[in-house]
Amino acid sequence: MSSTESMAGTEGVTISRTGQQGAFGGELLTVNFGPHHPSTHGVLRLIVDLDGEQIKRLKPVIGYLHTGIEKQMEALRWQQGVVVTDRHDYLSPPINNLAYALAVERLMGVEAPPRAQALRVIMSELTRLSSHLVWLGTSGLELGAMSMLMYCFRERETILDMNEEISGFRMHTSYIRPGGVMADATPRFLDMLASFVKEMPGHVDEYEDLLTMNPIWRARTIGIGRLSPEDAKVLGASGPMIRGSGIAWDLRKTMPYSGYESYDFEVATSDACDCYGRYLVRIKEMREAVKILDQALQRLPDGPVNVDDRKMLPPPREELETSMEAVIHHFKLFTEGYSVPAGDVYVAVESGRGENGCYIVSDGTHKPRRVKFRSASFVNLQALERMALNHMIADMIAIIGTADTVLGDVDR
Amino acid sequence: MPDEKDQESVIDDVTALAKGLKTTLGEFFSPVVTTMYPEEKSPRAERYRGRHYLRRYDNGLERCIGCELCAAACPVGCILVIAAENTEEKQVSPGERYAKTYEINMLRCIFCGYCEDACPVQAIVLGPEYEMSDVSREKFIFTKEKLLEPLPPDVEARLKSKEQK
Amino acid sequence: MTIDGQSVTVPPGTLIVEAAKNVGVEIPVFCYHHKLDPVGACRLCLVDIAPGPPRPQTACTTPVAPNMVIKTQSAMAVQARAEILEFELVNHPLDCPVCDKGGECPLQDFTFRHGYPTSRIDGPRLHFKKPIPLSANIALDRERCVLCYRCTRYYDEIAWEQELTTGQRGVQSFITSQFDQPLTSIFSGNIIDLCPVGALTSRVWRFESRPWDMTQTGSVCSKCAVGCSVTLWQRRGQLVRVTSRENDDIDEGWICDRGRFDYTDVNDPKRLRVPVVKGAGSTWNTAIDALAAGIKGKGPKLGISLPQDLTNEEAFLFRRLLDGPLKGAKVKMHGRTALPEPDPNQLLIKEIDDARVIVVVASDTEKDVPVVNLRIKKAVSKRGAQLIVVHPDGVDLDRNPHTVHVRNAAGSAAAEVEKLASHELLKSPGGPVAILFGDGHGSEDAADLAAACAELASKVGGKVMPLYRATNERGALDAGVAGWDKLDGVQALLSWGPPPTAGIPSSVKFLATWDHLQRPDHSRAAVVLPATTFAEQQGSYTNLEGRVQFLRPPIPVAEPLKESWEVLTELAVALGLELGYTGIFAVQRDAAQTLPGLADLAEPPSPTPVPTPVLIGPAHP
Repeated sequence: MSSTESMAGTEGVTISRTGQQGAFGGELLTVNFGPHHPSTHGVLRLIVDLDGEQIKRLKPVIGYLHTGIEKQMEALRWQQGVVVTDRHDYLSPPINNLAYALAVERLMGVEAPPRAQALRVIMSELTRLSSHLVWLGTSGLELGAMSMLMYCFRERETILDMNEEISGFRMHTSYIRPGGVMADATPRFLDMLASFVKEMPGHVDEYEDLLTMNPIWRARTIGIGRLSPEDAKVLGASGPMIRGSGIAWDLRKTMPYSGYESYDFEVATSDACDCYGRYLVRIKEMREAVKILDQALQRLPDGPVNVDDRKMLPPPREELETSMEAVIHHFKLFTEGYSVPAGDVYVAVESGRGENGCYIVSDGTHKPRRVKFRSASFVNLQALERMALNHMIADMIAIIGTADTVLGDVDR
Repeated sequence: MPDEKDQESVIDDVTALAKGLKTTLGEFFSPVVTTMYPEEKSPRAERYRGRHYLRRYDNGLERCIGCELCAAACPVGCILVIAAENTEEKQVSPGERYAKTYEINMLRCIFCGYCEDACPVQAIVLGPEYEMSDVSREKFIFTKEKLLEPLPPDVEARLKSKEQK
Repeated sequence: MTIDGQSVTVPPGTLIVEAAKNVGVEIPVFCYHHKLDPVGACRLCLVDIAPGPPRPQTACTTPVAPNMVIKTQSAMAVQARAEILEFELVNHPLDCPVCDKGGECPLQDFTFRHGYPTSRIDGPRLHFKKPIPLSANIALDRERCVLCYRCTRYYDEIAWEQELTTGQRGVQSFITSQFDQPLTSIFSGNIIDLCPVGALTSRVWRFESRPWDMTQTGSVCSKCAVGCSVTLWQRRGQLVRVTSRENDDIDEGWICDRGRFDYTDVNDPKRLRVPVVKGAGSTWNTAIDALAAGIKGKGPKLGISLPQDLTNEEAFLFRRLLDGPLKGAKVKMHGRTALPEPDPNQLLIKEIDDARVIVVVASDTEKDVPVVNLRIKKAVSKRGAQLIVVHPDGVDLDRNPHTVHVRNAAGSAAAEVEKLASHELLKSPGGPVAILFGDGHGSEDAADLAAACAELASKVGGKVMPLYRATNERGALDAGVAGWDKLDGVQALLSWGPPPTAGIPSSVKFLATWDHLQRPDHSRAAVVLPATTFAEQQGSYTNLEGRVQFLRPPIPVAEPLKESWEVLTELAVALGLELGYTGIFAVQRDAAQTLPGLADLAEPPSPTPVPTPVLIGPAHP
């Protein structure tokens, strides 16, 4: 910026003159966009160089929602860390829980029992649905389809009700824990799930009726935010971002976990490589998620929901009144916690946003030495400039929208 | 030819818009899903993790024995327990030990429910209340008196029947 | 020899448990303690030893042999230990949540790491009345006891007391005090640290906190001149517990009850916190000016009473005041002996271990220097040293039937010591001789006695140790402020610490006090300055063998309290002496350069305590 002269903009936007000459005869302007701007999905700040309305350079500035979650994990015992994982990608807590739980379990060499695995799949898919619903609702709203928000949040509410029924909390469920899950599903939860699975495809049809052929929606998304398959790979994009560029990369298929290999579903892809393609991928994924939920519900196995290891999970409450061993293990597990063998491990799961990885280093004590989250939002954010270059500033809203970043996940 | 194609696409567009309008119109006549909060409240699930309560036994003694396991289990360190010894003149809880001070910093609490899991005597439970807004920070330090308020009767009855099993 | 595949070389006679510690292999133990003789009572240390019978054997009683192969993780050993633990828990009460040991309890830790997670036994548990107060400071819970006999063995071997014993036999055994009388030994508190379960707990600390609530700081005891290492435990700005910290040079992990339980004054709600001038709260500036005005230029009409736990830094600063504006003042240090400055080549506490003959003159070591007393007992009972005591009355060391007790008339100790040179035990002692002497609480002429002891030492080839009593008597001597003056007739008195033992002289017109508590004798003080305690202030003590040890405060100095060096520096300014110190390190550096006795102050160790590693291992089976 050669000049510090600022011009007043709308809220959250400040503009400075650069002094450089643009292609349209005007002057290139540097526009500061955000962080407190409603369309940045949180507190994303963008520094955009504009030639007229065309984006010539775009630089995301992050860190406004840094919560030190990874560092906090180092101060918490293994089982306490679960509640923190809830909070980085706050639109998909159970999937974050799952990545962490799988990583801890792999270090400890244990595997959750089949019923727990099925419940984990159910919670993951519900989460994926609710995450996509938030995306669809807010992106629709931003591009002019006001009613989308109402309809999407209506269905999301059902999912949150289910979260509450199974875990006691609507958003930060802490449901999936190393060794299994917090508690078995209640019969009411399974009833709610069954009716949800029955109704949801109809709702997805509704969304498609409203958007898929809608000329305004198409005009604002087709050809906008192009990301070629090569670029997507080079930039490390994952999730709907890479599948929207025609590459069938889905960790549930490529590196199955929690028994995903036994479910019958398709990987949604689109060769459109633009915002519309990513929209189609997410819509398809919602349909596939319902399919998986249906299968999981049909063949939910009986049995325990936690590993049978009293050195890892506390004893049942009734034993506390009779068994000294139970009292001691209960006490030790809630004060010192279990120790995880030394080593490091990386486990990735497919979240609504892409590869949600968890890298853990253990030094053999009762607290992690280091926990690192490979967040899909952060990596996908890097593709923003590539997608937005030479587009109009108004299209940036659609592009940020379809990148579907959660800033809590970006900054951690 | 371009004209014809344009015409076709206009027809498509109008159809799509009409379809969308039909959907919204359909919603207009479907039952209302929203509730008129705060006049109307949705019920909370059994497992709901809301504000904390400290329970008492039927004979009036506090269940809490001041063992501090809840404070140890708490990932955010929002619980403060200072224990003291029961005497014959002042028997607060069964056994030797009771909690002289029991405070929860509700501003810091994340309602994870670990304290409830850790409690060996089921003294601390998370109830169904979620409306805890207030105007001063001090009021969010819930003291023992506040926590000892009785649970809603239906919740208490449910917990009791579970214990009997 | 090999332990779990790691080869280790240890001296012959080492026990397997000790060898395993060298390679970081945990063998759980209850009854074994490295300062007590092995007994093999709890059977928890079972390991698989080859060559040997195909049965698990106790690691705490078996010495190592060349080429021995020990497996702690063989199926047999793991099962044997788990089953022993299961037996230990048969009668253990379901007390963890209310037990003070919870969180730092070896029984919990070993069960978690080595025991079965579920119980196969479903029978009624043995019940005793509980808790039983063993003394004002110690509570006994017999239900929790695992009968490792550490406490009774400690009483027997280390403290030479007969107060604690086992009642009944076999499965009905229980720990009891002799004839159910309260414990009176001043070393009783150590059984709390020794107890591997929650059977013996402190009544002073009872239910105060959990181990994870507290931070611990390794510091030095301030109660007497021995300078035992202690750990101070802090919770929410309060000193909640004092425990021993093993230092083989001085205390070997034992402390006396005074050091362990005498700390509650630190948390006294009536602690003085603001300066008071003429009965009204005031600021530091006003109070220090008032004090300076009261004591300035009084010369020998000014009396100053010093506390026994004056730090070296305070002593140095005070010395500078005495050299300057307060020249000629009469100084009396609390609790100090009349003993002169020591021989630089004096006996060290750890050297008592190797002595063949120990001579204790004019001191009941149990009361004067408690933990040195334990060291003498160790040398006698475990190393076979001979003991000669010169004292008019019966002393604690007489508990050994072989003690040669020379009962002198009070005041004649020096003469008796001279005669000792021809004593048959000292004719050919067969090794070093340790001569410890006190001042008989003023009954002996300290200078004569010191000379006599030094002469005896040179004759029989030994070293002497003067038994100072005041905490930092050595440091005060080094700084030249360990006054011994009579305070009678002074017109102004600065009573630093508790009031003078002889009382406040009636001639005093201006009284200023500097203490952490308001004492009755101080009621007519014109100026009252609040003082910090050993738990708050930085500084160092020189113990009776000349070792400089640093205090590490667990509790921050809370406003408006001020650290003593700061108060003294400000007082100096008010008296017209500009010292210019900006921090305690500057004081220490200056003191180290100026006074040879305090040279060790030059390099104070890092004030951050070394964290104690928590042993956490994989859970078995």
